[in-house]
Amino acid sequence: MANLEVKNLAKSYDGKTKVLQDISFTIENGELVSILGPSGCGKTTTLRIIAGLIQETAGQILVNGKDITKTPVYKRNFGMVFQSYALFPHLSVFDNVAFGLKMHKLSKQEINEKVSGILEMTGLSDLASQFPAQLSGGQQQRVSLARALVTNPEMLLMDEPLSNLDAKLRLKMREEIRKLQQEMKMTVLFVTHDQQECFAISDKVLIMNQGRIEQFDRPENIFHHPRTEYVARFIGYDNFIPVNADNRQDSYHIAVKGTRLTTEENNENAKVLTIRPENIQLNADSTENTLTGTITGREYLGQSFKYTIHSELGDFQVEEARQKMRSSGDEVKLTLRAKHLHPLSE
Amino acid sequence: MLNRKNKTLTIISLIILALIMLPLVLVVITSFNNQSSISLPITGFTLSWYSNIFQQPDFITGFESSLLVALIASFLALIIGIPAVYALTRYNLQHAAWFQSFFLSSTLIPEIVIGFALYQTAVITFKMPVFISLIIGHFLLCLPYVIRLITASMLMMDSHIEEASWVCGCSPKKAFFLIVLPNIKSSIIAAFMMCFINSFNNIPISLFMNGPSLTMLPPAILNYLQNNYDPTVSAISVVLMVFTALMMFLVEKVIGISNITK
Ligand SMILES: Nc1ncnc2c1ncn2[C@@H]1O[C@H](COP(=O)(O)OP(=O)(O)O)[C@@H](O)[C@H]1O
Ligand SMILES: [Mg+2]
Repeated sequence: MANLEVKNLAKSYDGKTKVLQDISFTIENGELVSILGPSGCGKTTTLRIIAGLIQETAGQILVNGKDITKTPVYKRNFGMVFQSYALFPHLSVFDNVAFGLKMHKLSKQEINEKVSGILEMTGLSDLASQFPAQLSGGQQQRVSLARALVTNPEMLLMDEPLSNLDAKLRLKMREEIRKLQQEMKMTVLFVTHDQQECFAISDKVLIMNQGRIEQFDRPENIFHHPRTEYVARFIGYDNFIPVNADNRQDSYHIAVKGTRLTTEENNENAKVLTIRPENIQLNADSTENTLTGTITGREYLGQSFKYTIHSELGDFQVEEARQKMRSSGDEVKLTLRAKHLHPLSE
Repeated sequence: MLNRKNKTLTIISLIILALIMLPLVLVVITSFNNQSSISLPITGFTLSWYSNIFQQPDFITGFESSLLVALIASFLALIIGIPAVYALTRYNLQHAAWFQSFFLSSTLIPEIVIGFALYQTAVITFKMPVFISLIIGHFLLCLPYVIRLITASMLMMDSHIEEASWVCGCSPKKAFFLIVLPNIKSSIIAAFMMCFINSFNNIPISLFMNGPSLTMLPPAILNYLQNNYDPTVSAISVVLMVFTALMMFLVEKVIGISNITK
């Protein structure tokens, strides 16, 4: 498999609206990279340009350093799994998988060997003579995966491949995909709008917003160090404290409305401070980054409780695992630990 | 409740079926009558009207030319109609809706007008052979069936399967034959049948081009009926019904009628 380099990609369908702007990223050989973002942000467009199904307005795509921007789709040798699976309805499972090999003019014997091999790997051997309409969603998904892999493509492109499966199967399939990817050392670009799914299987995550890259990093880095407020919101940082230059005392201290807050990260250029709901402690035995507030809303989440707490710095969302629920109107002390309080510059 | 509804529906369907079938049954019965005019009740049994069909040279040559024209016109309509529909549904053509209406426009013009117009321009003004003019007329008759039926199934087909084949290494040209055509196969056959039957049975267009040089079957029957009101007409009607039914049966054998109506 190969490495992929996308350089300054831009796309406009109608010549006016910019659907993609300045998209640049690299996928190393054998990496699984996810594009994560809300519906309509340009994920599918990015994937389809890389596949060669639509034309970019500007930019370059390189595979192993070779510019393939002008190569037509059928000469790119990529594998692709569509959201709707897009199996050929008039061909059996075997012939669906064999289709690409026939296009590459392999001998009958080679085709038989390769198809049988990949069907075995994906657990489809017994279904070889079935037709797509006779298969369940999960089986169709597997066929579509087998069809994409059998030609030994430069890389695999997947557009929300799990979104049509039920929750349980989704979990199982994503594990299978990850396992297969690691065994075969595949380079994969995986599109999803499901944050959990994406963080679970990816080496790197590319978070997209309105046609631009917000952040491109390892999942744990994004989780602990979101670069922008948009990313933070997207991955569940529910609390935002707006700050400005006047609030800064030094690189690690900020005073907002009389409350002095310490951060572990340098707060230079900080426009907002953010913290996850489960990282705020209630009535902790500490004076670090502490303020008081009143509980104004409560919600039962099963494992924990979620409170809305009104304070001088605005409303906070706090998640607390505890035996007993606190009451509305209770006055509580909030502790925003310095290591969990992230300054964001955008 | 559901059962009673079903029963009512079945009865209504049977009544309608009977209304459609009754005249046909009468035609079949009269074709065996030994009276020399088309009449009921029948007074005796004979096959002589059937043998009389073959005594009429107009019927024989009419059948041959009607068959030939219907086949050629249907094939032409498919060969031109399918790529046109493909372009209209797949590419974001400008004025696609305009083209669509244009292709269907011949349904808006009375067939007798098409026939007359063709006769005037093609045969009289441009001195084109009658046969060619007939083919053009029947082609115009057939094209809307192809456009309608193929458009419907093209729109129903998931366009991603074509893209999937391209990604698999198949060029778009090849994919048209390997992926698109097989998946609209049943509507192609359905369109062909509609074209063929409508062309084969057409009177208004054929009437104008009918003459000593070329005889089409329906005008020949009409002509015969004007001169002799005998059961030969019933007999040939029965033969045509059997011929059409046989065609349906063959198609059913090959792909299944349920596939067509899908
Ligand atoms: N074929 C198209 N023509 C015009 N606009 C399109 C087309 N496909 C997508 N768009 C627009 O481009 C934007 C991004 O779409 P898409 O890439 O499908 O987003 P995502 O996959 O992230 O949901 C959307 O605003 C969408 O309306
Ligand atoms: Mg999409």
